[in-house]
Amino acid sequence: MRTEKDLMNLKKDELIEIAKSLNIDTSGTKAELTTRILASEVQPAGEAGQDFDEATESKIDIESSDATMSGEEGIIEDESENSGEASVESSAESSQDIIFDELPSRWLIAGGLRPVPYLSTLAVVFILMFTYGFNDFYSVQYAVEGSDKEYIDCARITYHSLGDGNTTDYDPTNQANIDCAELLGISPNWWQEDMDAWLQSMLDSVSGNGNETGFIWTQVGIDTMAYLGASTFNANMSVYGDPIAGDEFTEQDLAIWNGYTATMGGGNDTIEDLLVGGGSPFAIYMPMGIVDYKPTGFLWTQAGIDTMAYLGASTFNTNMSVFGDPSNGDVFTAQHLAVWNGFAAAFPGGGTDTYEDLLPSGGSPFAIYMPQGIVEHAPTGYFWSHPGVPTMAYLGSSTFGANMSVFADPAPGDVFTAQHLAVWNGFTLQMGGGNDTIADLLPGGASPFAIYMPSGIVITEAEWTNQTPSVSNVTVEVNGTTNTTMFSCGYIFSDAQGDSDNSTIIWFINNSYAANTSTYSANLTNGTTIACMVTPYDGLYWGVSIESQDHLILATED
Amino acid sequence: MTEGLDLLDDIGLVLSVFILLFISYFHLRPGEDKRTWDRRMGASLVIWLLLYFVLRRMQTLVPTTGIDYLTADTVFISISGYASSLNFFYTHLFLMLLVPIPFLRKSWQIAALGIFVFIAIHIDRTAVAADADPFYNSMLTYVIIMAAVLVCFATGMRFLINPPAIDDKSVEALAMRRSGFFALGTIAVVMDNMIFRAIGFLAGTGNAWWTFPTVNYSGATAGYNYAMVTLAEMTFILGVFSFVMIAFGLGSIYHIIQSIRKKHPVSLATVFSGYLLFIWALIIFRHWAWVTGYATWDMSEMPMDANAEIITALSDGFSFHLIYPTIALLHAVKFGLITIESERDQKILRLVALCVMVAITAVFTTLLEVIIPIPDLVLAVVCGLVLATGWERHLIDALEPDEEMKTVSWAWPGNERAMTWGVNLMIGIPFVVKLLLGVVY
Repeated sequence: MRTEKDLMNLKKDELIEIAKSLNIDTSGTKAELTTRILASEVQPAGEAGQDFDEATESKIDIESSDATMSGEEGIIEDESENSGEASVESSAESSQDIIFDELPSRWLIAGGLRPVPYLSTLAVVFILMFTYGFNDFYSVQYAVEGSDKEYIDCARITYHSLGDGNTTDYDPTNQANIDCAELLGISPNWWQEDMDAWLQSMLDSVSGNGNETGFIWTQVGIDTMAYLGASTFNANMSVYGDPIAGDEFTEQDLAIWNGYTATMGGGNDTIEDLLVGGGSPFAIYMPMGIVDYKPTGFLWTQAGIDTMAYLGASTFNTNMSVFGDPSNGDVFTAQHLAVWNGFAAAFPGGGTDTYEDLLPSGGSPFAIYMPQGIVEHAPTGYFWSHPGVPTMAYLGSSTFGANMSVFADPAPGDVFTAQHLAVWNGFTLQMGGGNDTIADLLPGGASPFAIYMPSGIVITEAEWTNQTPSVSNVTVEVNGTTNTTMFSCGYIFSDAQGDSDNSTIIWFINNSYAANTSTYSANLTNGTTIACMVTPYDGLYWGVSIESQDHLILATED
Repeated sequence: MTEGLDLLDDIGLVLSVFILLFISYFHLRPGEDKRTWDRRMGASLVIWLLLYFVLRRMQTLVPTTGIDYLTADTVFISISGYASSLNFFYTHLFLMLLVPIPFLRKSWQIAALGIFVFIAIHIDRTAVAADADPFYNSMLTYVIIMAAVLVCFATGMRFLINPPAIDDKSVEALAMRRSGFFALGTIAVVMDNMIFRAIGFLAGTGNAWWTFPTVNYSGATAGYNYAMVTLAEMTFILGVFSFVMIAFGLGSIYHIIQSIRKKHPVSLATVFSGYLLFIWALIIFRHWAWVTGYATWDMSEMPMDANAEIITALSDGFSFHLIYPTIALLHAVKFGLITIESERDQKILRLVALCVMVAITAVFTTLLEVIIPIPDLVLAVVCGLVLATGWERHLIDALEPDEEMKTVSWAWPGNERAMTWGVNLMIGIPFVVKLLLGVVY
């Protein structure tokens, strides 16, 4: 006699073979086969099948292989008339469907034979858990002394509606906000106060550490201070460490200045008070100021100021005073950059911009909102020259293993910055150079690599202006005929070297591009506008394009 | 590390597609279909569920298959949103309430539930629309689905702790066995990652109460009354998850003890119990990680550090990418939703079992490599040994349906054809709309 353990240790194929030899069903899992084999060994094979009790049999329809279901009524129709009883006996062996036509009650399915105690228990436990969870959260989040409802509704009004400057409902003086703020025990103007405090803390946090104030001595400042020291304070410049122009104006320098002026009604100046037009009580004695912003190599542009003013008003809830109300061409200082990054840090990906990221097409995550950038390179007095760009590109690829991206892909006429010079000196340092000034990179300059760049890399600002041709007085001229009117573009061409005029002309009809010919012929209808744009070119240098006024076609010209 | 975890997406998608094709082939192949309505309907619902999984993964992995919210017209975005919600909720609700022994027994009940769900979706979406006033967090649709979960849970739990005797062939025992087995399988298939909030619900911690979608901002945006509405809804949702998981956890322990004492038969319920206890180990670990700060997630449950990434992969990733599609396969085969009869069918099943084994191995090794850097060679040797010892045979044996599961059924008390078409259209139309809008826009 085989035991269950013996059978379970066999492979399934072996169990199937045994089942076949016993003439019983061979389908199912190993456990089912084992059960069936054990059962067949204690009773005849014909009784080993699935035996439903009599009560069950009375409720079922047994569907033979060709039985179908009525689509309309859902009642089993057994088309094989004589398959019924035989199928019951051998249902387990032939895998026939046994379909009950009466669904069991939902109570039985969900709750079993004793649904009431079972489902009641589940319901009670769940209700207890629900009550616990609700009360636990409520007690922490909503329970306050007094009326919970009044407090929560007031919190919404003051913190998220009338009192919240980030909403369109913002109205801190509204009586409902004032009443609610009183209930909550805060100022009805809490949002503005918080914003002010935040801005102040940000400005404080970006202030210098004493040695990096962002301000430098100017020569006129040194001269002024030397005079004031000798005439008024009985001190010479040694108390400031004998600075030279461009040295950092430190917090210690400021403390010394305030120490001197404290006895004369001053003593509270900030470094900003010592700028030209600053607020120092002694400004009258130093009309050119003492200090200037430390150059960063970048200046505010007018487009940048306008953009920043818009972003401040629309996004950052501030105005340009946080940047000291800069003007076009002012130094974009380290402090300005820190303020910008302070704002941007509140948004994903922001807060880590460099100066370069704020140039037009820079890498700032907010570049899409400032297509013209915020800053421009500060002038150094030198530009990339026409031969300079390809020369540097050649040297980069042939010698330094770098392309022009290390210089941010400049075009002729772009400012040759101090950073560009640093990159150049970095490359040449390992080859015996590394100490060039920008002037050394002019044609015939003193760079040890001058032989490799006979036309130089840079051009002075003055030379650039001198060599670049220009045009003026651009106008549309009309030469009427009976059928067709010919238009020409009149202008005055200027070139310091007297080179020939190779300027190009572009025509616009109703502000849309029309042609790039020297003249334009057409029979234009009444009301049409025509304009031309001249780009000066002397065969070597391109100048700045100038466009004429729109010329309106009137009936008399037809 | 992220690269390794990203592989899970690909493996899960391939596995889901493979199982989807397998079930679809057997469900849709031409020839005489002898299956009863509940098996056909069950197979359809499992296919819709897998299609939902696949489309969701596709729209994550290949954004062009999803609607572009920046450029698409707001009307289409809105229609796509409705379609997506209808597809999701109908599939899950019908899987829990319609098969194998239906709780919804009349066509009008199905239609009424469909309309009720649509209204609930509309209320939920309207409450969080950009111009909503009041703007509050409405979760009515989730409440409906969690109510259905309670029904399914009661059925499964009843079977887990008090199964009918295996030799009891009465109609009641047959009904309780079939519905109980199916309920356990359905619960395993439709489990959401919110099961990991089971402890947080009782502990009152932020990983349950301040993690989307169960975040109650309604007090701030709409005032006290709406805060109470949201609180009641989110308490119900979180409470059901917690209640169900705790009850199943205890039930699983009880069932395993009874099985050891040979008072309960070892069956699919035992496999379910083992799976539940494994999930509980993950729940405890994840909750511990959150409470102690070992790992951090944001309010949307996005991992904020490397530990959180691994734990998310172990819990969410493991469930979504491997367990759900595998259980869907088990569900379809084990309950006879598709018919595996001929030698050729068996060969195809064997191929699928091998693929599932490969996927299981791939997911395990991917996770293992992230946690413990093991050389690929060692993993390859281990995997080879595992596969060479014929483990796929065990999987095929586990997939083999019981005779009773293949033969016993209950007739649909009405127009079976109309019901089948109606349910499939209710789920299918939103799915197709969502898919088309995603591709076109």
